[in-house]
Amino acid sequence: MSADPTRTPTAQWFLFIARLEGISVLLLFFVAMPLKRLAGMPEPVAWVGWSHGVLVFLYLLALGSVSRVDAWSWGRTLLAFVASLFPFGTFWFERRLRKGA
Amino acid sequence: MSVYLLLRTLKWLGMLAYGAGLLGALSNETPAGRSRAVQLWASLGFALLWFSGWGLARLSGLSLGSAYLSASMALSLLSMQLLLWSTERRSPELARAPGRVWAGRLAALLSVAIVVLMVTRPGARPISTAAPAARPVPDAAPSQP
Repeated sequence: MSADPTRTPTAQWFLFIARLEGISVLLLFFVAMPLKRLAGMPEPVAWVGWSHGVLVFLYLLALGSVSRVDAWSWGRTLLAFVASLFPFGTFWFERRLRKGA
Repeated sequence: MSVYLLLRTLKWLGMLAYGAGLLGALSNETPAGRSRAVQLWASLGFALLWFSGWGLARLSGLSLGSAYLSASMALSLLSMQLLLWSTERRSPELARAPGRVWAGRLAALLSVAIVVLMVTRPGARPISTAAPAARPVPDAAPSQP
């Protein structure tokens, strides 16, 4: 296993999906939901919400894969899962991972 | 191009990408190549298929609770998970283990089952009838003797 946990091919793939998932959370919370609540446009929430849901599935599949392949600890895996629930969470987790935590 | 046609095109592209990932996972010479095929192509295909499939169901007024759609989604998740597991490179010995090879073949079989479900569409139902139908009211209470 490499010293830098973000260098392996599986980790790089996971981080790519994590960034997409993070962007979809931000679009959902800060664009689609305000459009629904403030402008009465519910359609973007449906489309962005579903896209976010698909990306969450992929994120979980990739998280399972990277934690098995790179032998991540249970703590790190759980933290990655919890980070996906909050806006900016996956970006924070990537930053933390790059620092070697 | 209408939204419907755009989604149909995305679904075809998704099928091609997932198929490419599946073929790459089963036939690539190196473990790195197999893994890359799943991570690049199969996951892209998975995302495109789920996104466009939901859009098409929504535009067609179909409920995701339809038997064939629910079953396809569950099988698709299982297929993707098996495909990932079959190509993971924890060690060279594991990558060639018979169980992993069979997991890849099972993933391919599940994908074929999904195509069959999508063509035959058993249990398709519109969104408007997705809620359980109200129970019929009995004609009259049984009379007391």
